[in-house]
Parts: sequence; structure tokens; C-alpha cells
Amino acid sequence: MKTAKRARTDAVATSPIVLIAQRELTITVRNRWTVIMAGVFGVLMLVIAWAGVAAEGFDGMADFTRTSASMVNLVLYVVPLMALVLATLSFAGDRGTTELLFSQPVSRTEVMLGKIAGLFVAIGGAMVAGFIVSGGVVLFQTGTHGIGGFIAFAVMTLLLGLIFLCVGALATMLAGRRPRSFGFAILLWFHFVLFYDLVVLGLASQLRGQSAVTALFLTLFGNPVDLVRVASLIVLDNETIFGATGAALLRFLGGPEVSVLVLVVAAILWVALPLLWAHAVLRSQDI
Amino acid sequence: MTALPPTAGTHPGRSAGMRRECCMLFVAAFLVGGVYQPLPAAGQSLISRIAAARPGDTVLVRGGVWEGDLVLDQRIALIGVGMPVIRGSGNGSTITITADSCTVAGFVIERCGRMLVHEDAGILVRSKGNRILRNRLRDILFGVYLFRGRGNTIDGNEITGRRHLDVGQRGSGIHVYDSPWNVIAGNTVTDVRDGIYIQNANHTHIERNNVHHVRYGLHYMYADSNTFLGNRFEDNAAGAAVMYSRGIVMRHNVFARNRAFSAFGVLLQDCHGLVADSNIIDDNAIGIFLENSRHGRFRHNIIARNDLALQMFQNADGNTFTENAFIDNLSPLVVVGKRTGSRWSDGGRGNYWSGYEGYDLDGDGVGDVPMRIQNVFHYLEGRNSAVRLFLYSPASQALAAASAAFPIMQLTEESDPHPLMDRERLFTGHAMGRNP
Amino acid sequence: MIEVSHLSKSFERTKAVRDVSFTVREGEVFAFLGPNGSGKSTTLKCIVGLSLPDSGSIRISGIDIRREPRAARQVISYLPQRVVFPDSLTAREILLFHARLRGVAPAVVNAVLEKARFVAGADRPAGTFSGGMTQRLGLAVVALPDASVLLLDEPTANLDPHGVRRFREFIVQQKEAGKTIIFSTHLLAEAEQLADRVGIFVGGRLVAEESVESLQAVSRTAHSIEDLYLHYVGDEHDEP
Repeated sequence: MKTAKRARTDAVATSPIVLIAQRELTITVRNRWTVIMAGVFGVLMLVIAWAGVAAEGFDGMADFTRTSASMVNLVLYVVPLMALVLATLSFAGDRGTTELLFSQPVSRTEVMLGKIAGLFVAIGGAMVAGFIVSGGVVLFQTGTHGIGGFIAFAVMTLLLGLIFLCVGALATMLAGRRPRSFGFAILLWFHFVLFYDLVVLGLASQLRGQSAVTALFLTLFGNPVDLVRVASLIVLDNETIFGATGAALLRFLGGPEVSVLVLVVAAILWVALPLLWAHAVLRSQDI
Repeated sequence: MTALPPTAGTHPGRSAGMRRECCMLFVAAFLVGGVYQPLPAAGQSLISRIAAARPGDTVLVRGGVWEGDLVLDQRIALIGVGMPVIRGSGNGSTITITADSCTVAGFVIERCGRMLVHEDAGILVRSKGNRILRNRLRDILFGVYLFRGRGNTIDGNEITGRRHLDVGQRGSGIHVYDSPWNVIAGNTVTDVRDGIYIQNANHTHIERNNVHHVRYGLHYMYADSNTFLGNRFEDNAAGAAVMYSRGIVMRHNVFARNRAFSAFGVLLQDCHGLVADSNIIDDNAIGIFLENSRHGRFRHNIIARNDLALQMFQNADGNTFTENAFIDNLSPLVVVGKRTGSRWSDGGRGNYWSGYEGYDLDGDGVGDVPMRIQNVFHYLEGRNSAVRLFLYSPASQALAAASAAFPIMQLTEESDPHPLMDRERLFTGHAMGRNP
Repeated sequence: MIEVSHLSKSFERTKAVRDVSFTVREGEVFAFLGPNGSGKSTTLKCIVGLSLPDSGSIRISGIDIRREPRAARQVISYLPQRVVFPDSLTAREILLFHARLRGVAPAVVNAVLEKARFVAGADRPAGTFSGGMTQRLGLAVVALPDASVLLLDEPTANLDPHGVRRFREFIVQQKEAGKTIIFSTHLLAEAEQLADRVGIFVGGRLVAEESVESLQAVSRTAHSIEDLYLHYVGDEHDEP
């Protein structure tokens, strides 16, 4: 091993986060599940785009906004699931692999950030590919109307993916063992995609008056899926889609542009807070 | 005075060529009768020529710019040749008609005053039986203002308001106040507050008008027995708001792309016994909004691509919807209250619903299972409108799926017992939304 | 080189390590000998900073692992019990990753691959490796950064005789290179054969630190390894 000592070089100093991200990206891209999920996502996006064009709305025009509104739905189901599953696969990985990685001269938080970054590039690449292909179909058929909103929607989809990678990472750390973390991930998916909104809807039907409306607005911030959904629909369709309630919401948040900003900032908090929490858990946890 | 004045020669004047102008001129002169005044020498003021005219005279005016603030206080026909401009001083109305049976045709009329309370208009009409034909009104507060005048015809005018003003500071395109038996036809109105404003005006006939980029396309109240035919209300904050009126008939109108917050294609409030037939209501925030309007009949309408097709209050009772096509609306129906008592089919014929998932085994074109119009989500939306924020959420779709699968989740009774399968066959033989 | 004093670590119900103190000198090979669950693994994990001790201090080359984990780990190369590599990565990719992470020139990777006789399998994914190949790769990863301290957790468990021999050769080589080594084992023979000194773990306690010579003296009198452990535990049996 004398050769190693001689050849040691300080010139090559790539950040450990980048190195871990690259490795995570390679592992994720080669994972069968990633390929399957990315494929399903891409195909469904394409089907929606194609159906939007082929169905030919009333005057033979299915523009970006109508098509992408259907895509919102797909995204809300698939992206959180994809992100949670991949985060769990990665963070609840094999014990021996994890121990070897965390025994390297790298801080635990760097390992976490590197993994999330790698996963994000993988999942984001899959989503961007889906958006480009499906967007291309619509673009080719109906022109560039609404493309700005479509791009904004794509960015918010990426944000949604990132949120659930971070939430998934945190959940895995809290859950501890591997089988338990998978159960936890599925539970979280049900919670954020379905249960939370159902509970809120149930409460909303019992409450009346202005305070009920305000309470309903505030509940949006408790669920990143709702944040991304509302922000996407505002940038995609137009802010009138939610009717008088939408007007009230926008006034509540301070106008259309400010509203999207507020929603996006809140969504970014949904990245930052799970990361901070995960950082705290990781610091005081046995690997 | 019950007979309407003839409306010959009132094609919408989009391309006003010289030859056609001359032709119109002679027709108009013939119709008006009286003394034919030759074209004036240059420099003679229009005011003095009108002052010099006697009742029944026709005053021909040549192209050029003429001083406005005219008052027609005796029965004359003021006919423009080559679209002469009548320019107001910026105070009061550019033309005021106080005598009955006058005609103003073929002018560009501009620059009236700025006072909403003084009814400053391009043409202010305070008398009966006048005809306002093929004028172009621009830079005006109100376009044509009918104030206690019956039996007037406003046909083929183009009215453009002051776009630079706030909507609230503009006047209406055509403002009809306390004036029955008027005909408003073939006008194009844009950039005003309300396109056509009707108040206390029974027996008004509104036909083939195009109104776009205004606040309310049609703002309408306390006017019974009126007919709307073949009008287009597009790209307004709201299409038509019809209130406190009886015996309304709407046919072949288009209400499209009216998309401000909680904007509607058609709002009907306290309008009992309305007949709405063969209208297109497309791409509005809310297609039809019904409050306290009973016993209406909606047939052969296309209600498509609205965020919400129908919003009905519980007090909108006993309306009948048959052979309409509800296509690709985000939500078909929100009921504010418990139920509407609407009839969704008549004589075994219901409506076409693009969201219908039933089947037609016997092939008679009518679905074999009833169309449940609302799901639980729509029901909740009726109870608390803020629930709409959960539009497109998986939870709302789960509720929809659950209410389809489990009848116990069916909280509303709105259903169409005879949903139609084929929307193509629905309208065979009907000219949809075209000017008749 | 490695100083552990009054180290204690408990998990939810069990006290895994109880007040363990010892010192390993530079260039020394130290074996943790003890049955399963005696605290060997946990002690190793505490030294490398994977497990966080309840109390006590650990210093590697004078660096406190709790205060400066990254600096301490610079000098450590750790091989987990039952090391596994990501299925889809090749041996070359795994070594390149570790090389870059620890500032080793990528060119060294080729030399290491050759030395570990990985030329043919270097570009095969780790998921296709036999147990022997995985072990060789694990040892290569440990040797790669030329760290001065090697911590090896049960390195011969689940190995065939070839693997065991390969590991012995590895230890000899590394010792000759001047490395400080701690490895854990439950095989008396392995400890006797490879280590300079042996720490005997029973029930979370370090019950004895012996030179190999004195251990051999004791072991000659013991019928089995269990007797050996009992010899060190003495009368303290059945302690809760």
C-alpha cells in the first residue's frame, strides 16, 4: 500500500456531497424500480398529452392549460409516491453499505444531502423527460399558448419531488428499521395525498362563516401536495379556476403573483424543515 | 305607437364603401320622405343647417369633421355620406335627440362629455321612434342612451368606449332606461362598462349584437317579455346578468370566455318562466348561475368547458333541462342549499353528459342507468364554497369514486333518469349559435 | 494511538457496553475476543463514530471522535460486519468512489484492483459477486485510503478457508506497513494467531487485556472457549 501513500493527492478535492450525489445517481438510475416508475410517469404524461390533443375539445383545441391541468392530477399521485419509495430505498438501504459510507471522513449531514441531491437529479431527470416529451406533443399540435405556465408547473413538480425526498429521508430516519420504513412511507403517501384532504373536507362541511374559510386556507400550508396543487393550478389555468374562493384566497395571500410566491416559499419550507429535522435526528442517532 | 319602424337596409356596416353609402342614402331619404336638402357648401355649420331645416327634412352631411353638441329638436333625418365625423365639445352629449322619429345614420360620432350623472353620451335619445343606424361611436362615455324613449331602433352601430378609463368610470355601450319597445340589433360594443344596459324596458328585442371586453355584456333588470336572439357575449368579466324579469326568451346566443372571478356566462336572478334554447355557453368560470328563478326551460343548449356548468340556489326551483349537452365542465352542478327540484329530463329525453359512465344496452340512444349529476365533492362545495380549493385533489376524486361505487355516499338527489348517449344526434337540424 | 476510557453504551433494553477502557498503541494489532452480543461490535462502532456513546471518551491519534468526527475518521478505515456493496455498482466504481472521497489518486485504483486479483471482475456489478469477491473488495476498500488505523468487525465470519487465509495475509501485510489494527472475532485461534494483544469481552465488559502469550497460557488450561470466558468472568456470573 506504499503506492497509495505516494499517489495521494490533495489537488483532487471534489466536495463529498457531489461525490455521494454522483454515486447515488448511478445507483438510482440503475435501479429497476426507478426505471419502471420513470417509464410509467413518462407514458402517462404522453397519454394525457396525446388524449388532450386527440380528444379535440369543443372547437378542436386542447391547449397547454387544459392538458396540463390533467397532468396536475397525475403528478399529485405519482411524484410523491416515486420520491417516497426512492428515498426509503436509499436511506433504509443495506446496513453494511450504510455503515461503510458513514464511517468515511464525511459528516452525516453531508451524506444525507449528497444522497438527496443524487436522488433528486435522478427523479428530476425522469420528470423533465416526461414533461419535454408530452409538452412537445402538445406544442407540436397546438402551439405555444400557455407554455410559460407549463414550465412553471414543471418546476413545481420538481419541487414536489424534492419535498417528498426530504420527507421520505426524515421518515426513514424516524422509522429506523427497513420494513417499518416502507410501511411508514406508504402511510405518509396516503396521509398527504388522501387522508389529510379528506379530513379537511370533512371539517369544512361542518364549519361555516369567514373563520371557516380562513381555516381552510391555512390548512393548505399543512400539506405540500395542496400547496403545489393550488400553485400549479393558479399558474396553469388561471386564478379564476377556484371561483370566488380563489379570489378570496388570493386576497388573503396578497394578489396572484404574491400568492404563488407565498405558496412556493411555503413549499420550500417543506424542503427545509424536514431537512433540519432530519439533520437533528441524524446527529443524535446510532447508524 | 305599437308598430316598430321598418329596419330595411340595416346590415351591420363593417365595410362602408362609398357606393354603398350612396345607395343607403337614397333608401333612407325615400323612407324618411320630406324635403331633400342638397349637400351643403363647405364651411356652413351643421348646427345652422339643422336649425334651418323643417320637420320632415333630410339633411345630408358630407365627409369631414363637423362640430357636435347637436340637438335634434324637430323630426329630421341626419344622414352622413362617406362617414363624416361629428365631434363634440367634450361637454354634454355629442348629439341629443328630443324630437320623435328622427334618424341619425352613417356618422362617426365622438368626444362627448365626462359626466356619468348627466348621461353624457354619443347620442342621447329622449324621444320616440328614432332610428340610430350604422354609426361609429368612439371616445364616448355612454354610446347610445335611451332615456324614456319608446319604439327606437339602434341598428348596426359600432361602439367603442374609453379604454383608458377605469371600468367603474365608463358608461354603458347602449343604455336603455325606462324605455319599452325598442330594437337593439347588429351592434358591436367594446371597452365600455356594461355592453348593453337595460332597465325598466319591457318588450325590448335584442338581436345579433356582439359585445366583448366589457364588464357585463348585458346588464339587465326589471324588463319583461324580452327576446335575445343570436347575440355574442365573449371575453367579458361576465356574460349576461338578467334580473327581476319575466317572460324572457333567449335563443342562439353565445356566451363564451367570460372568465373573471366567479364570472358567469349567464346569471339569472328572479327570472321566472325563462326559455333558453339553443345557446352556446362555453369556457366561462360559471356557465349558468340561477338564483330564485323558477320554471325556466333550458333546451338544446351546449354548456361546455366551464369550470362549473351550473350553480343553482335551492330557491331556483322547478326548472327543466332537456336535450342540453354538458361537455367537459370541471364540475357539472353545485347546489347551494339542499335540492333544486329541477327536472333533468322530459318525455324520456334527458341531457347529454360527457362524464356519464353508464351504458345503453337497448341502443335507443338513452342511457340505461340514471346520471348522478353531483358527487359528494360537489355536494360539499355547495355547503362551503371554499371547498373548491380542493379541486383536482386526489381526495376530491376519491370522494367522487366513492359516491359512484357506494350509493350510501349519494347525498344529493339531482340525477338525470334518461341521459342521452350521443351528442351528435342531439342537435340535428338546429343551427347552433349562429345569427339567424 | 487509540484511547478508550470508561465507554458505556446502552440500547433500548440492554447495556451493550459497560465502562470499557483500553489503549491500543501505534503499530499494534489488537483483537476483541468474545461471544456474540458481548459488545465488540458496539465498541468498534463507537470508535468510528457510528454509535454514539452514553458516556466515556474515545481519542484516535489524540482526536476526540465526538468533537471532530471527520478529522478522526480521516485516519480510520472501517470494515463493517458483513459488508455489502450496492448491487449495481462495479468494483471499479466502488473503489473510484472511495478513492475520490478520501483524496486518493484514481490511478491507485487500478493497482489495487490488480493486487486484489480483480482484473476480470473489475467491471462486473457487485450484485454478481461471490462471497469471496465481496470480501476481497471490502479489504481493498479498507486498504485503499492508506489510513493509519484499521477497524475490522468480524472480518472472517462467513468466510470459506480461502477467505480466512486471505484475511490473515492481509493483516500481516498491513501490520508490516505499520498500521494500527483492531479486529473483532469469536475465534480464539484467530486472536492468538494474528494479534499482539487480546481484549476479552463478556457481557458488555472488557474483562481482560492479555498479551497473546499469557492468553495462550490460560487457554491451554481451558477445555473450551466458554471455559476461557468463565475464567475471566470469575464469580461475577448471573449479573443482571
